[in-house]
Amino acid sequence: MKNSVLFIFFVISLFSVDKITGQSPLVPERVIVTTDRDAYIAGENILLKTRIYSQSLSSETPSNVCYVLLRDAKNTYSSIFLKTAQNNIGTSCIYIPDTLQTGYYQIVAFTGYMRNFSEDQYFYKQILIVNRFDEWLSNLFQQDDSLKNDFVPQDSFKIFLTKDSFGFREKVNVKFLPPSESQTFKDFTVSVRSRNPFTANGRTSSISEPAVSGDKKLQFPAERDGIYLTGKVISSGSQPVPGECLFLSAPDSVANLQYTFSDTNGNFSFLLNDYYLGKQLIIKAERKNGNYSIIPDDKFKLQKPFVPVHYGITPELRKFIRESRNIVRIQKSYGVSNVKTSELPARVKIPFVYNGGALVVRPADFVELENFREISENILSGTRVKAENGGNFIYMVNKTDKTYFTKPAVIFLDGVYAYDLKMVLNFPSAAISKIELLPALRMMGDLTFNGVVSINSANKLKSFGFDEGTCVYNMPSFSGSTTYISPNYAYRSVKDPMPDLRQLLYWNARPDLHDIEFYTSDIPGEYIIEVEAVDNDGNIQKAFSTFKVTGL
Amino acid sequence: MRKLMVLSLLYIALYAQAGQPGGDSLILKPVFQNLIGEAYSDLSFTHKGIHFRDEFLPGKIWFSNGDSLNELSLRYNSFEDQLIWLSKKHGQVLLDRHNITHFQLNNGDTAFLFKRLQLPEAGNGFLQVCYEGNIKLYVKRKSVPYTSYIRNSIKYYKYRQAPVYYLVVQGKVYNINRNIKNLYQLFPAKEEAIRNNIRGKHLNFKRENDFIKAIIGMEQILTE
Repeated sequence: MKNSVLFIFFVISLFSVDKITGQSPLVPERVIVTTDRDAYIAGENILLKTRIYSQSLSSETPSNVCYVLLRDAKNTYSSIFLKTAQNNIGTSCIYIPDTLQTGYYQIVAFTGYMRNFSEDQYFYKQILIVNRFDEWLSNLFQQDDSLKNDFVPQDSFKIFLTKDSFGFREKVNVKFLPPSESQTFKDFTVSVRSRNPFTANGRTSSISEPAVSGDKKLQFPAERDGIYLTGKVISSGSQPVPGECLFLSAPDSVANLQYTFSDTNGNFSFLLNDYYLGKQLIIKAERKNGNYSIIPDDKFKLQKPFVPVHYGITPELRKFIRESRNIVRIQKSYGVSNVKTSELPARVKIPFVYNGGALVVRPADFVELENFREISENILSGTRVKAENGGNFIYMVNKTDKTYFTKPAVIFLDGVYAYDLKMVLNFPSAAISKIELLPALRMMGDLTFNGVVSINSANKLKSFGFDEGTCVYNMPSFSGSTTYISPNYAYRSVKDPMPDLRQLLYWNARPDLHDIEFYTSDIPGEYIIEVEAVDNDGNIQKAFSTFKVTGL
Repeated sequence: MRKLMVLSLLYIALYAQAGQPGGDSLILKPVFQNLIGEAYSDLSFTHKGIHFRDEFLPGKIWFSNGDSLNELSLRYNSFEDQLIWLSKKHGQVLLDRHNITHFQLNNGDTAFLFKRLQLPEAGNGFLQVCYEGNIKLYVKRKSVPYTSYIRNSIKYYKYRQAPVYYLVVQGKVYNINRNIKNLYQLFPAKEEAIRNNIRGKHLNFKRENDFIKAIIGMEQILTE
């Protein structure tokens, strides 16, 4: 009997371990990116639609931040943060720098959470980019595989057109129908573009298989409420520094602070809200200690190399590239762009150290004083500047018991936490616009401050990173939401002298599918309608159709 | 028996490991640092009745960034409109209001929900939520000093609760008294309907619960 009780207790203990230690199996996410085209000329935009799927059966929503980068075999050229909106769908664009060399490039997309798994689960897609001024196209001569004209229209859903051939600037109506009524699709993407030999090959898109859940330890949490800035604190001997209190602030007119502690492996993380986007972030340890480094993670760094597949160059591809290059050249000279980017609404919550209640002193209201020590002695009542331990600190009188604190006050310079007064000690009155004093014992979570002094310089300080052990991290902003605008000749004369040289006639990322309409451009040739959607089982289904623009 | 002890120790060890912030600190949201404030000098010894409830109550705070913290020891100073947190580390902390949207004090089965609101009549501060439907009823929990005395050279003050009620009907804020005549004055066109509504219900407006019940019962009349 006693043994049975023991056995039951032991089994319960084992089952509880996962819950207690938080090491339940991680359920992977999946990112799928659709691009408007597969071949581009440098100077154009790559239009992207990103979808993030959670493979969790629970109602837990997946990440809403996606990392997308453009790279070749050697370097990364563009990297963007992309925020998904409703239905976990995000649209954005990557501008291709004019100076990019001709060659095969790769678009890689993943979420922060996917970094818990193998890079094999990321989204990869190979695209062709041609430099506008590259006449020889020598980078395309290598051939690993052949470009066969094996494009076969698929019939995941039916695409109906009123006719097969259209004139210039003529309206095209397209209807879509699923093969059966029981089948439903969502997350549609429609691209109508000039057909090229590269696309027809149909080999450029690579959608990785979903990762398998496993007993992995969660190292990179899903980013739903903000972006995690992660990193490591290491000593001069490259050993991890555990238990170090780190402060993060951004230059601003208000004192702001977040803190965290490094874990047993020296790893740290800050959860950043929209306030931090596009700002320079300063990370410092609570106490000055130059014997270690704070190293933030490079989230865009990949281990898996890009090995492009070269398809050689056929006469058709060379002809297409030549035409496209000329078109982009003309579009550039006319300043034509059909891409509109709008800023995402930001939810800015400033992590104030305090908000109101401070005594404000403006040195400009008093007689000019030579340095901060004089300012403290003459116009900052209840403060004392003291040189000790190789630094200059400010002590305040506690407003409650009217005695000096035994420890120095915490200092903020232009909103950023500072170890001491080194940077402003020689500042005369004219160099300081405002000083805020909070002569009280302040608390912020685990931390205690023996008074707060916030100093705003007249000309914003530019050298926050001077202290040893300080880490400066430039936080990028989210890329804006992108829409493709095609001209509407119902409102614009078809005789408009402005050339319409669009090779991309239509691009839309939408959750549901309706009939679409668009206008053809002034470019004759064969066009492809590509529709991509997600079926009931979560699989990507594609459908293609073609039509001609003859101008006749 | 020894085996049982060994297994118990194993279980406790695992549990303790899970509670440490070191191992999985990356997945912890930095919620705790939303608690910002300064040391608070407790006045309750000399200022009797200055708080909404004399003792610290278990409670929850919701912050403007969407975070929330539960199982905090909280007390509301209804004279100064201040929220006090009893911290094991820092003692009594007067919390900054700027990042608090609402808080709740739990007294047994009764929960008091306070929201930081800016009503034209009440200014910016914490108001207790009595009802939020098509009409809204808030109470500003105010304590006012009514007497003082000196004993052993120490001056003591006594406070009494003087709640102020705010009724929001179709976006308009009314400062109301716990008095039926006051309701008739504020809504003269609905006097008859209000009278009919409370007739026979044996409500005593001196009791706050009856007053709140009566106001909620008038929701339809007031919004018609």
